Amino acid sequence: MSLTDGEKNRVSSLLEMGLGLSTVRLAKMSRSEWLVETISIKEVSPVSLLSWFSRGKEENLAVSFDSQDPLPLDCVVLFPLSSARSLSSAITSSHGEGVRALGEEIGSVIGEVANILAHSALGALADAGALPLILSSPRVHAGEKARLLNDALARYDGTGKSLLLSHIEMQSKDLVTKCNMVIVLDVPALRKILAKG
Amino acid sequence: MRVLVVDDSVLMRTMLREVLESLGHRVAAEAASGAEALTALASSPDLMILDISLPDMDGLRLLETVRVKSPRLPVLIVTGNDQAAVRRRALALKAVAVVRKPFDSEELAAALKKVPGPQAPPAP
Repeated sequence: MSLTDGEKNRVSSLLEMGLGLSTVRLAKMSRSEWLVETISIKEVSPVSLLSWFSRGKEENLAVSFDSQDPLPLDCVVLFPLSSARSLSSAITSSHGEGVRALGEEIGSVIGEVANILAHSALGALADAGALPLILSSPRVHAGEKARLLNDALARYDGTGKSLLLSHIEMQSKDLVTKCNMVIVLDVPALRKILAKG
Repeated sequence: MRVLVVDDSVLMRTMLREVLESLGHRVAAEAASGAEALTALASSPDLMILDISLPDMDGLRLLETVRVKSPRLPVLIVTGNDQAAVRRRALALKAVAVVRKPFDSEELAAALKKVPGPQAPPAP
């Protein structure tokens, strides 16, 4: 199901605003300055998304979340593994010994980074409709991008759903890294939110 | 205070432990799920620090259960979810405060000041 241009613009604007808020939260987590920028947000078909993701064979880390009523959705954030390693190290390096040691446990650190991004973006959407949003605990998997996406979208049947792809860039003093966020939204629920906003 | 830390993320549990210890508190037990948290109540903590996103149940449902099993246990919510609707529900369930993740030691210290002191045992 496709969104109208007006709906796409409104959803993009809310997600972008929410992702912008993650800058402060990421800075607090890493005890250093960060800038989180949304490069693009667009509605895509699952075929074109899988085809695009099939091009790269680089190992990725996928962090997936879901939420049930009143705002049912699935969300997966994908990081190239090499970027995930650098990001994990950057996030933990200014902490005490116990946290620094966890820099090697990339899944745990990247799970929390994705948690920040997902709560910031999707929280802005839910807030627009004054709806509570309880995201599941992050689930972290490693593998090729297309397979990870395929697994994450296993529940996607196309009926009344919209698939959004966002490219996000995160910059700190010493690191520039990118990730993709894929969101499967329930269009009727989304329209109720947009009607309130 | 002896604190029970409930968070599915080992990173967050470790960060909480470091900050709590720097503030002079002690982690009595850690739990990564709702089921583990309910078992860990046996460690008789003075405070539970609770995340909302847990793998087996959401933290607010766990808080409802804790209110039945340990009605006087102070519970501090530490969550990445800072929605007003979620905050209201947590406070309605008598959470002491809601702290947004990530947090710094000043924010956690300020929230810990809201925790009531050790309760006197109930009258016989």
